[in-house]
Amino acid sequence: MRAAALLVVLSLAAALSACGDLSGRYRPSQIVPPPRVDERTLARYPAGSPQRAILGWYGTLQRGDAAALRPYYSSRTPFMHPTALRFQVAQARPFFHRVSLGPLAVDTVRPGSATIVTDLRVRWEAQNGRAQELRSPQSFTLVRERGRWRFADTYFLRFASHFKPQKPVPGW
Amino acid sequence: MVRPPARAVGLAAAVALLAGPAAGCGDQRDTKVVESRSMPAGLIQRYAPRHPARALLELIQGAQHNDAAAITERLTPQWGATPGRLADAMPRITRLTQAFGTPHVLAVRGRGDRAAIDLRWGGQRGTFVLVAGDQGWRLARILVDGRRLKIAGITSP
Repeated sequence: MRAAALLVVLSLAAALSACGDLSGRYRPSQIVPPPRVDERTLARYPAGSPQRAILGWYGTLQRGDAAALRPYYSSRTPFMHPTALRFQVAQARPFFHRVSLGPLAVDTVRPGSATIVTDLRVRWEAQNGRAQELRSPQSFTLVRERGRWRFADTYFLRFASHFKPQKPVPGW
Repeated sequence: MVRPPARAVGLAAAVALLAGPAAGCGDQRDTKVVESRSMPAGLIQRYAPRHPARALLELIQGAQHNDAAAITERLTPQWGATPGRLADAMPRITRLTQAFGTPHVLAVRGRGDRAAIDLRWGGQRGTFVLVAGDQGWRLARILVDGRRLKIAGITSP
């Protein structure tokens, strides 16, 4: 019986300590970095689809690879000087390490363009293990050019470089 | 009083030991999802592909969804919405249109290559004038109480 009581005490201690840190240090809620776009993520969508183009572009930006960005944009996109582009990609980089994309769905297809709807997701985790995911609707309109889906402007890069994640809603 | 057998207490403790961490932390069940407002996806599909109301609702969805390219595609050149001007205005346009929520089409007037759509949206009534061209319907003008709308530094033609 004494052994069983000891086991009960140990169980309670383990259950209570399971949700974190007994060091006494305060760990504020923090953003959980999104998973990296890899071959497996890309394979969820058919080759040559606008969704695949968006994910490829997102992965390139997660890697901060400014040199590899050009093929994702239309030849008519007013593009910045390579140095300015590198600077903007570097500024936007924190965004791509904080925000993930939801599932990508084709919304409208017109001759020469397609709109894909998704949402931007920021996942916060609190010290008590609870999580809050803030989602905001997002769509991307791509144009079809020389057999590929491409972005028509660099607006999103500018948006990403100024992005400040919304704080979690209180009372969670 | 009947005392529980030691073996049963031990078993219960072992179950608690395993169940505690398993049920615990960072579990998906504990995730609270907070979504911004935007119009329901099915609203656009109520209108036929070449209907002017559909073009207008696609434009509104583009605004709520932070999609500058979708807006550029559906504005007449008279708006002067260059990529730079639109990029400056987009964060405000997105916030405002999300706060307005779902638009309600009250009436569609006109024929041929010109249509006027009366909309109730965010507690206000407005008239949206669209013109048809090779690329489909484009928004030419927004009137609220008979006046041209000015939003985020962009004035309606």
